[in-house]
Amino acid sequence: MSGSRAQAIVRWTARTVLRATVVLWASATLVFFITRLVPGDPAEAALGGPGSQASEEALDAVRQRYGFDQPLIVQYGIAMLALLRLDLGTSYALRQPVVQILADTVPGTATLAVLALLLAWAMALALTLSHTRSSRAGAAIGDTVEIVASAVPHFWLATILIAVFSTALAWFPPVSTGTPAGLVLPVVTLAVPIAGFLAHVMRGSLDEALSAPFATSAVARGETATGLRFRHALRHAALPALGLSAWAFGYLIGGAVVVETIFARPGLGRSLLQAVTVRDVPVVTGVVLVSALVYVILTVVTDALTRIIDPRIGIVTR
Amino acid sequence: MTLLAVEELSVSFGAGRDRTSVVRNVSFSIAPGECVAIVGESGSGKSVTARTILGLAGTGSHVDARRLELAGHDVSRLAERELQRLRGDVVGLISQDALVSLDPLRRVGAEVGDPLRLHRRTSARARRRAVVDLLARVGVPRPELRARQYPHELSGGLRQRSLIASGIAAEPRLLIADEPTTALDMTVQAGILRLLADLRDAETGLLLISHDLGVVASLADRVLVMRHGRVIDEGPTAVILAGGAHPYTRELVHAVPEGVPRHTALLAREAESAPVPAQAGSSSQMPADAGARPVLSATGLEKSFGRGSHATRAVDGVDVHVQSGETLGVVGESGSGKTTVGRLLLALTEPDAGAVLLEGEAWSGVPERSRRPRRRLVGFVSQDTSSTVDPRWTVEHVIADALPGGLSPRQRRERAAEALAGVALEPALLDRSPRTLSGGQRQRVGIARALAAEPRVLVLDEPVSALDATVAAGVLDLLDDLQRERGLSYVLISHDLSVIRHMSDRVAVMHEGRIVETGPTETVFTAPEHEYTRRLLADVPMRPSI
Repeated sequence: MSGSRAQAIVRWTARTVLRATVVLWASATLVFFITRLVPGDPAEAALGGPGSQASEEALDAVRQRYGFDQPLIVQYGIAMLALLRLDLGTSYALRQPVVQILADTVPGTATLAVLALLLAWAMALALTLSHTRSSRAGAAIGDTVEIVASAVPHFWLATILIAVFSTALAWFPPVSTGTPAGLVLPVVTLAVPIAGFLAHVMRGSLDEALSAPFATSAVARGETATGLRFRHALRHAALPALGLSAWAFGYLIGGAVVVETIFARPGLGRSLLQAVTVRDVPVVTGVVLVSALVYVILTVVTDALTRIIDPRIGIVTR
Repeated sequence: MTLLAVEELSVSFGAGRDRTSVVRNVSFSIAPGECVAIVGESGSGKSVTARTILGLAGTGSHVDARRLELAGHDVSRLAERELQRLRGDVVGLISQDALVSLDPLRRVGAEVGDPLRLHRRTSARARRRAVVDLLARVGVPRPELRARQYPHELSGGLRQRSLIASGIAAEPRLLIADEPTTALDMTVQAGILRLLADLRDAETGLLLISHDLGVVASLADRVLVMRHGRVIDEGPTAVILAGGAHPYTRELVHAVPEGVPRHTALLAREAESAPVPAQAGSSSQMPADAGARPVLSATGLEKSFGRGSHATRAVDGVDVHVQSGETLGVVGESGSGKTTVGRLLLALTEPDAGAVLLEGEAWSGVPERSRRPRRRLVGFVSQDTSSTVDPRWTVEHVIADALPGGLSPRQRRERAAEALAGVALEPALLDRSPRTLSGGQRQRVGIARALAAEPRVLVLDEPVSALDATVAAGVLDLLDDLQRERGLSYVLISHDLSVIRHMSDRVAVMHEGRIVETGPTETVFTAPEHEYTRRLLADVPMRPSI
């Protein structure tokens, strides 16, 4: 029994790693060709963008150095081989290895995103539990709060939060310094829309679970309303929200571009924005690949968690 | 001393003009060791009555009673917190369909042990031991293993037993069993009924809610017949099963096809078409002569699912022959392979070995292109028609879909209306959605759709299993009439022996993928040769002959 389970886990892991590799290779390929599709001379971009007015000799030298004179398919092969060695090239603008830039910026953004996701879950749970099975008016208010929260744009929310909590109340700094207090406003900005979305999904499935026949049998055994929620229904409610969390994380990285810029916080998002502005192709490629990697890892983790919570799926099914 | 006393209980939902009475003026009592049954069709108020005793009538309900007393507690006056203390401790509930009545995300042991956790001060360890004892007591084999498993890993019978174990965990003095055996096979049902009888004999009061008179007969001391929220008849079980005092009781009793000969209508009809003896010339009257070519025949059918060591042989060397105008009953328990045989006959699945012939020509092993023009000859009626149609379609659309092409919209509508008339439904239903119809109406629409293509054979897979007894009786009568009018052949797949016996000319008994016994219906039922058939017949809950 346990032997076959161990085998199944090994098989699942092998399959998952294989799939993740395919996804990463596909995104690397996609990014490579899309950046080459951008109009303009890549050599010009490498020398500081279209406005650089570099000499023809300088351009030729750059073409040779980066291999832009080679056929596209050869360039692609070289880029993929470099990727296998974890060599992402050198930033045009910063003259630094891209790996170094990523190593400097990823931790800050990761902290922001993880904290935002945790806060979003906490807020969503609170919102869900306070509004289930409430009166029609209560449900309508809950609905409104959730929908408004999930529709709020980051830049607007950030501006309001700064106006209230920095300018007026002076509780938190408007610029995100390294201190924990500096993290609060960016994290809240990122968490609110996701909390609204998760709560909306969770409340629907919680109501469904509370009216399921197994809930009736639990109540008939003498279960209390609180016990029914925590011991039975919440697990059912968490399942769809868990599945959405990987998606939410992708959304967080997108939000990080806005939030890091507004709060002047160093991070992946701000690096991406700067790199796109000056057409720093190696950095853009690096950021996209890291995002893809994180997204893949999170999908695998939520998938594994779902299998742990829901025994019906099991490890054996594909 | 009475355990439960209910006097003039009324339950209604909604308020003001929208107020609907669901239970009206119901009175009864249960003593320890007594079993009282409430029978009635869906919507009769029997389940709401049971739930009200638990204080679970539902949101928006108004409960009104002169007396609603459970073991000395006035249920109608208790606060929620006090009700919680009674539920699971003094009164236990066993609902139907354990597949959804056990939490799929929790281990069986946790569900069974919940009443002990809630009502007894026991350590987790003592509770685990008690759970294993409980599971063993209700006849669950390997209880230590089962307690650690999840509901989906257990068979339907084991799930129902586990649900009973959770109902009796805290040894309640009253047990409410709401359709406790409805979704189960005969042999499993027999075991559950024995278990409930043992509990009753151990001085537990039992309130049994059922639409199955066979189940009621084997357990109940007294029976209440409910209809439209009222108790319209009541008395000792033998009296009620003999027809009681109310005409509806008689109708309910007669709706059960058990012991009713073939081609005899179950429901009383208008004088003009009263009990129709089989008409001369109808094909079923003349047993097909030996040389006649069967409409549908299969030889040496084999079908496995899964691969390698996980493969299960669902069908293992099955021969069936269906003559023109006859009904072949295929009976067996779930997992016996009877549904797979149906799918093979419908050519929805290709057999691994063997062949199916339709009117003497290859029906299996040929490309779908060559089957398509002949598809209309073999119709299909499933247990639940609503799950086999697009919910957004109207009844007209559902039926017209089965009509041959090349008809004008007007002709299609006319033909669809004719098809409805053929199954005794009003043409007004054409524009309705199947979802808004009653179960019996939906099943008639399913039959109308199958017949619209003018088939020669109908495969009927549990056609009345989801229906109330009197509704099922109407559908069975209809099928019988249609067969004689149109010379149809039926392959009737069912686990219900009384339906099979009433409807079939010949019977094939399936067990573990094989036909263990086949022959003329009465021979198989009165003189079964195979050991398995005998066991199957012995497990039918018997009621005194009417």
